[in-house]
Amino acid sequence: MRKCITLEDQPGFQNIHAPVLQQAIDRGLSGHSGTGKVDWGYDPLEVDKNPPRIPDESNKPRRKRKDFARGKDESWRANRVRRQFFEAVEVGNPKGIFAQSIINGISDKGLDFIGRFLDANPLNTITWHGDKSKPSHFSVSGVGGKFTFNITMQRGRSKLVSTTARHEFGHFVDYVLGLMSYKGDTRSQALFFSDLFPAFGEAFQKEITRLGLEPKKTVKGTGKEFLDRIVEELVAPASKVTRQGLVKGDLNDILDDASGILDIADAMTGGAWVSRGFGGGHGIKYYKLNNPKKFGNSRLHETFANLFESWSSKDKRSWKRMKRYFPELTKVFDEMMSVYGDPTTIFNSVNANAPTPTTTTAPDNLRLNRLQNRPIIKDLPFVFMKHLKDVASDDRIESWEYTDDEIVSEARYFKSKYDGNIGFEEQEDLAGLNGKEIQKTRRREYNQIKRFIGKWSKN
Amino acid sequence: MKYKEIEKILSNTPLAVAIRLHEDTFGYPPEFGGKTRIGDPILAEEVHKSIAKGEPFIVDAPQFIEHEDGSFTLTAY
Repeated sequence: MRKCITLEDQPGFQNIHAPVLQQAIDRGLSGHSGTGKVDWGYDPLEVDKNPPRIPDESNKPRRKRKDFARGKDESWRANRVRRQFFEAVEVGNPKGIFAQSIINGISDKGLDFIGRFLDANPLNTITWHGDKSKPSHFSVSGVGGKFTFNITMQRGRSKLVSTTARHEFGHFVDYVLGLMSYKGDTRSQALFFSDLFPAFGEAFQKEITRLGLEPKKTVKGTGKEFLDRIVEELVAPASKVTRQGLVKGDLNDILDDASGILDIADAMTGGAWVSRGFGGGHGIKYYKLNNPKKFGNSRLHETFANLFESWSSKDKRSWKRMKRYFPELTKVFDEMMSVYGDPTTIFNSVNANAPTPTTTTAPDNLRLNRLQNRPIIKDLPFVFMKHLKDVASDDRIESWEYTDDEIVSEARYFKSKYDGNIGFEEQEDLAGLNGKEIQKTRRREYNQIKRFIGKWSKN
Repeated sequence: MKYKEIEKILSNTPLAVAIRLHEDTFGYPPEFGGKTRIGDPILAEEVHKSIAKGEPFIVDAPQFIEHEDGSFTLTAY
């Protein structure tokens, strides 16, 4: 039995545009059933033989792109980071490649840090290029206290790209933490957190002294023993690879694993590694210090980025290696991250609280410098410094504007969070209720604050 | 393993060969501007191309630029 249908009522009928086929149907129906006429919405006979193609964007097959949809077994932290990077303009590669590069090589604590960081300070653009001679980099453009953050990446091997992505993100973190922690002062906008946070520079200098990396007559002669030792310890497995004739990739992996340590050694010696002529490091010209108070110290910037790259790595051996070679630096970095890496820390947006340009006279500047750099300010334990800045922000002043007595008084209150009568979470942490690692961190903070009060109390 | 033995391996990596050739040709090493990989074969190829053209391999990598309109661009590599 034949079933009759009304063509015009069928779903999608009005979207059909196939005059040749429709004319054939008209001819077939003619004189057989119904009216023999179909209302196509236009007269197929009046249409040119080759009607223009009507592009239908909705049905056009597209190149598959990665988006922030949660991948199989992907953690919510990874998905948050993927979503955050998706907000950035990504040019030169399918969108989502940068996020994937970050996620591929990062630890959970690194993901948590980046997620909280990007919540307040999103990355604006990610640009990929295939120019093999141009290096990857982080850049910031600023005007009137408003900042645009960009990362430019060279396309390459996935493991390497992942490491580079974290390195460039480390520069981003270093710059934004600088703005966040020292907002509202009269410093140059070319400075990073690593320039501004005294303990970091001091630890850097201590390592130079400890490792015997003070400048010699030539850059090449600087730190010879230490560089030889790193190579002997970290690159030695390369000889096994070459003897056994293993694939080239293995040799590259060994060399890449050593690169973070060698890059810091290159920074400490002002380019001694690069001058050996094997590649790696940044170079003598890059590390020439040109008015670091105004333009910053590229040696500190690179060290911070390499430490961040290693600290956030999924490969735990990376941070262990760093600790072995640079115990002072990694200790300070760990202390910084005990605050910023704390999952409960919420970052401020540097663009929302952007510093407004101030005009000050020379004597004003001198007075401000004296206030900002007085010994008690330089001696603030890191964890308390952050607290003091928050309190100052509530009071709408800068932390260094408090008198010495006010700072000590606030320090006493801060200490009571650890040992007072009110049940702050610090007390739980200190009692070891939230794990040994947290207990260790809290104990260190508590001892620092006790030492600070003891030193600066007049009585 | 002693440094001298490892040095031999490193000296034969593509980038080390390219850097030596650059020094022999122009009297000074190439300038890469940013972070490089030890022995990087891809970068080595770029250095060789530059030498073949008779041009030193120098990448300009400015770190801080102040523009006339008061804005600035800061770059870290």
